[in-house]
Amino acid sequence: METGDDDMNNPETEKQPKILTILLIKGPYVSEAADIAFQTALKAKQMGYKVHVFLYLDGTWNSHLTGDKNYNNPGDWLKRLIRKEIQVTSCERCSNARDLTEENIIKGVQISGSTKLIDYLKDSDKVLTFGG
Amino acid sequence: MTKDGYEIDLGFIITKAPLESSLGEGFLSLAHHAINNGKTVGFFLISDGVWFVKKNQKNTAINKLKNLIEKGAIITVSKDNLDAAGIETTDILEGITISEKPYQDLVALVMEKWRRVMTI
Amino acid sequence: MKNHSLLIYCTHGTYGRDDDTYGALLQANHTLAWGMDVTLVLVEDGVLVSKKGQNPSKIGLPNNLNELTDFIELGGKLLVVNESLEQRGIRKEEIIDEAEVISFRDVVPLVENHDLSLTF
Repeated sequence: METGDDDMNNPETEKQPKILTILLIKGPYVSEAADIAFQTALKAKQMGYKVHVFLYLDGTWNSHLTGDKNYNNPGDWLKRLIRKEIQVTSCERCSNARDLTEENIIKGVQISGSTKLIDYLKDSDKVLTFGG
Repeated sequence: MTKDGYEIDLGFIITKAPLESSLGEGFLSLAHHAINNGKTVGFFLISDGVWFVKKNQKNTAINKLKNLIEKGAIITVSKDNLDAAGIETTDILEGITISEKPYQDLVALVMEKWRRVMTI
Repeated sequence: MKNHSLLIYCTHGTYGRDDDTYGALLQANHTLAWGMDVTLVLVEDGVLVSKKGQNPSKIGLPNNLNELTDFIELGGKLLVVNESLEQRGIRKEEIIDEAEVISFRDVVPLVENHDLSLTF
């Protein structure tokens, strides 16, 4: 897209990265959904996209994997997402239903209402659902 | 090229095996309808979805997939998951693109090449 | 706001899969209430959530028809795929009156014409 000279120094015309939102609705181990969701998120971030991850329904269980394990562990992937500063939100209602609180989930995962997901939906370029 | 600059109108990600549920085959049917209406389609097969491309299956899903390939659908499959399943690359349908970097290719397709995407 | 319309492709509709079913309906209603246009496409077992006369009181679950009623009252568009009904022996008279029955091939333009889709 061509921009005029007036726009050259306007920060609003600086190209913003595209946004990917990933909705995960399945818990760990029952399928590869969590692994795929988290690895997709990491790769997208690495490729320069802005990424949001929203844990919904049984997807919220992934936030409970706080411990270390010597086998493939979606919790490890989730911790990597946090370290890479990918915003991970866990549905408040779903978390409450499963007794998941800020005290027993991975640090850095934010528990929030589904309006957060709706904000992501409104602004994302693409949205992927894993676990359907 | 779609009117807003994408290469493919409709992309599908399948993570389930063909006979595990009817949902993957449902996506194949949607793709058929799309192609019959002049649209371009693509698939990315990962996790158990790679089982769609194994040769010598006897089910309606494999026939739909072969038909889609003939009609120009671009089918990409994760090599990591083929290896996990023990499926040799010589034992998959002709006309399949094998992805050696599945997550990189998946993200590129979703974010840059596919106008719309559905997942199962 | 980049996106104004959402398609929810709902493939579960039974009380045995109520987390997925109820979760989809709840999200549909919240998204509608927060200003996006939402179309709910019931397909595969998803069509079963539109069945009249549901009474889950003895199994301790809320009636999903209440969420569907809210969805319609909020202005959502409820579409039910005919082929999925037929496969399950459900006649049009057996589903709620507000549901519009469509053909499976009609899903393709729906996906194209909505900014985003979610699959449950």
